[in-house]
Amino acid sequence: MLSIQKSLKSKLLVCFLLLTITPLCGIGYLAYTLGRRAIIADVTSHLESVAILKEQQLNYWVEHLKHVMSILSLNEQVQKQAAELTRLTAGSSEYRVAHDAIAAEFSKIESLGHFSPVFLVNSVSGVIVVSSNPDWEGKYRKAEEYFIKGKTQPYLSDVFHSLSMDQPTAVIAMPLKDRSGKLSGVLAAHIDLKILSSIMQERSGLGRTGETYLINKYNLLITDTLFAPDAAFQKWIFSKGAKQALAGTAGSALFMDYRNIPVIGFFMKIKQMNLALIAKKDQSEALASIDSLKYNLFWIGLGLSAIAGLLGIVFSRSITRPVRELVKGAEEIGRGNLQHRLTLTSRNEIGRLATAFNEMAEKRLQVEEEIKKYAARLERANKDLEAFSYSVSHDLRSPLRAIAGFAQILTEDHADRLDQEGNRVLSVIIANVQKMGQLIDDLLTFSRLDRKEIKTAIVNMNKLIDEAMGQLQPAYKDRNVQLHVETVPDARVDRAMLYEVMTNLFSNAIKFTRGRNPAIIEIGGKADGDENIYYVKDNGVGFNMQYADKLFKVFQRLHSPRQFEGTGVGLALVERIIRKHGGRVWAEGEEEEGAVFYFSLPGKEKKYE
Amino acid sequence: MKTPLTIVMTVLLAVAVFMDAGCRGKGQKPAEKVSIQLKWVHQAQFAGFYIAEKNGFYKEENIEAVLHPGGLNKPPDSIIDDVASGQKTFAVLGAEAVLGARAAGKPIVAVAVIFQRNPYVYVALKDSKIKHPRDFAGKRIAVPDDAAMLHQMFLKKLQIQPSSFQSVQYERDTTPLATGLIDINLSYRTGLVLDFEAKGLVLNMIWPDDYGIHFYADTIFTSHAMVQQHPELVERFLRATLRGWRYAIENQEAAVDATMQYDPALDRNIQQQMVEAQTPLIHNGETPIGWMQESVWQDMYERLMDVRVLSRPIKLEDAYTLQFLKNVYDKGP
Repeated sequence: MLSIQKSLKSKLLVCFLLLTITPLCGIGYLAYTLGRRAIIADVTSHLESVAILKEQQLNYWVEHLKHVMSILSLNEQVQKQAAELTRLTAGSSEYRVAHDAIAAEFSKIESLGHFSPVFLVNSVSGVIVVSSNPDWEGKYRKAEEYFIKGKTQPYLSDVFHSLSMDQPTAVIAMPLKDRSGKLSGVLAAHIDLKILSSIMQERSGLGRTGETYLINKYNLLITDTLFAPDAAFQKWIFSKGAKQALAGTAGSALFMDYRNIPVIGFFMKIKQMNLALIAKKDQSEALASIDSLKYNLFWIGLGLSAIAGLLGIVFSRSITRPVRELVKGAEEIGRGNLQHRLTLTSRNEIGRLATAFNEMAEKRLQVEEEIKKYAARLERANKDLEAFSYSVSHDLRSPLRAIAGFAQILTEDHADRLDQEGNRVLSVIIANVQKMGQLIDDLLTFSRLDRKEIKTAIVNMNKLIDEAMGQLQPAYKDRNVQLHVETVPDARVDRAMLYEVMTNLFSNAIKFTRGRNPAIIEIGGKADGDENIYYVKDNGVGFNMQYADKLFKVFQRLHSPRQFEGTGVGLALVERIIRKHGGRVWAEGEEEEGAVFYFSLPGKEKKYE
Repeated sequence: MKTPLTIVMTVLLAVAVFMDAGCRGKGQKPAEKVSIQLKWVHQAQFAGFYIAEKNGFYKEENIEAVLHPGGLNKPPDSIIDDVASGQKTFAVLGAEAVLGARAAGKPIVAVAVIFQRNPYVYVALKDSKIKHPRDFAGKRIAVPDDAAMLHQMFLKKLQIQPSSFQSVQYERDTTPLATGLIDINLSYRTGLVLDFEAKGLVLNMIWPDDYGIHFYADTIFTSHAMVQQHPELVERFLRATLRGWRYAIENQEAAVDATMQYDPALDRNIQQQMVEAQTPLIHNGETPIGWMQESVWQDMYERLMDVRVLSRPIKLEDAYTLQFLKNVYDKGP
């Protein structure tokens, strides 16, 4: 009872919790993921637009620098004087004039900002011949890539750390030609990368953690970053974004940045400068709002679960209490206390169930009382009937004995006084009296059976069969009778009663085979499922199956007493005994071909040792 | 509670643990021992090696590395002999030593260059107005013995006659320059120059590198036999070493800490300045750390032949190999 209540209660509780938490989790998850995705998409597009803006700024700046340099390369004065320098010997006064003229132009360009220093490299020796910073004159640039490439076309070098300047820089170089188109030197200028950093470090509304930075093809950071202010040229970044950008892919991703902190990043390659640009923002900042939604959802969920749990407990109590009452009451009634009534007053289904239950108990009480009355009546009637039949048969015996006695006296003492007809009639009287006595005896046996208690024990059926045959042996000792007895299973039965059954069936078989030569009687049996089936088979007169149902009725006979003696009680007795043991009887037969009488007994008993 | 079942379970568990340990032991070979002969005494000049050792980068490559400091009692020739004979697995010396050894028939091979730019620099006091090699004329110049060759190449390249200035005895001391006893001192950027700076002297620096003398300094080399017989060990060693150097540049405090662990008697400030000063010499963004350029090797070789330092011509491609650097960088960090 307790377990029913417990399991019902916990089921209801779980049900309530599931009903509240499942939709909440579902909706919460959906809201969170959709929200998160939307925010990531939003941040990404912002980062992308910032990155593209910066790329444009950088490209514009580089284009501008190249433009300034190409204007310089087209400056007539510079062109003319540079051509002079290649012709004149260093140290001569004309050389100095040409040099100073070019240096003056270079200084003008330098004063515009962006470039420092601006210089001219001798296209043959690779030595700096003119520089806006005179200290640089005489330095060798022959092996530098910008010198080699700059002889033929405008060239922007990679960003590198210059030892002379002791800072990161890049160089724009381009050929300087005279009017005839002959190369007179390479025009070059170091770019002030501060502008690069300032373009990158302009925050563009990227919030607290958003930033953009540049890395070179060796993953080296070349601009300062927000979280590593002095890391330019001293940090290598191998984040997913950096790798993809350097591989030439532009795009966005969630990855760990150089601090090993998860970021949303947009990355792209700036082809013109052979650099990768990365715009990123910490996920913690970008997703702060959605994360707070997550926490809120969690707390709301927790609160709702608590409420649902409480409600679940209250509801399940309100349901299980009446159910418990119901169960208790039902069990009480089930134990036989039909007076017990359920005291549930609620009007819901459980209330109605209780009412129905009470009504049922009431009805059962009434029925049971009626049955009791009926049974008492029946018992009384039965007893009366038994007493009646007993007394009838008993009381009938004494007058019958008197008739028999006097009839006997009549034959013994007065036979000579009677004529032949008188003697015949007297013998008929005597025969009928004998027959009536037999009838009364059988009836008495039959009626006694009803009052007899059966006492069962495991009985060796073969032994019992042998005994029965032995008792009847005198009845057939002068006849040719072949007996076949199989080994049959034992059974738990009332031995005396079963002995009665066997003698009845066996004597019937003897009786109805009269005239058969030889008479064959077969007795057998076997266990069949949970019952044992025994049979007695003969090759006697048999019977018509049409009348098979009459065989076991009391006083019912298929043959005339003249053919075969008997009262018609034997098989009825057999049937009654077997039924009392919980078994059944039946018969199969054919006229003049013999009969088989079967009976079954509850089986599954072990062989009696 | 000591039922037979618990005893059986305990035994099984013990066996499992033992077998697990056994398998692990089998799966990983014992760490391979590698010895590295440094060019000079312990100092931040070798910080990358220290970091690779202290941070377990060598261990991750299953290498047990032992670093041997150099010094006055460990001249370059003996270092080269140690490596050539296999007594030391790797060593660090200037690139000219590697080429010289090849010319002398020593079977050694350079595998990486830590100092891309040579730390030797001509310094003069700012007030002296000496800013350019052409200002050398008539000045008193002090050059240390181990930079004599570089000096010679520099003069040759710029066509400066040794007679145009006055060579004076070099002392590893700030006094001669500070007091005006000499005008120009060819000195180590991460050595004597730091001492000048520590004294508050403002200097003009003339870098040979600026005048076309690109000469690799600290170069890692090993024996030809190692390259032939244990290439993957060389690669693993190099990967861990270069990782150590990258880490040292990214985390300069840690680089100093690691150095101090190797020689606690060092002046921490000096080591810090050394780390700062050497960073642009180790890498300038033009190549990955440790990288070597064929053009630079060619140039160095020609220049050495030019000043007749090498006793005979060599096959330059036998003196160094890019194979390991390429493998290390192709596989990524």
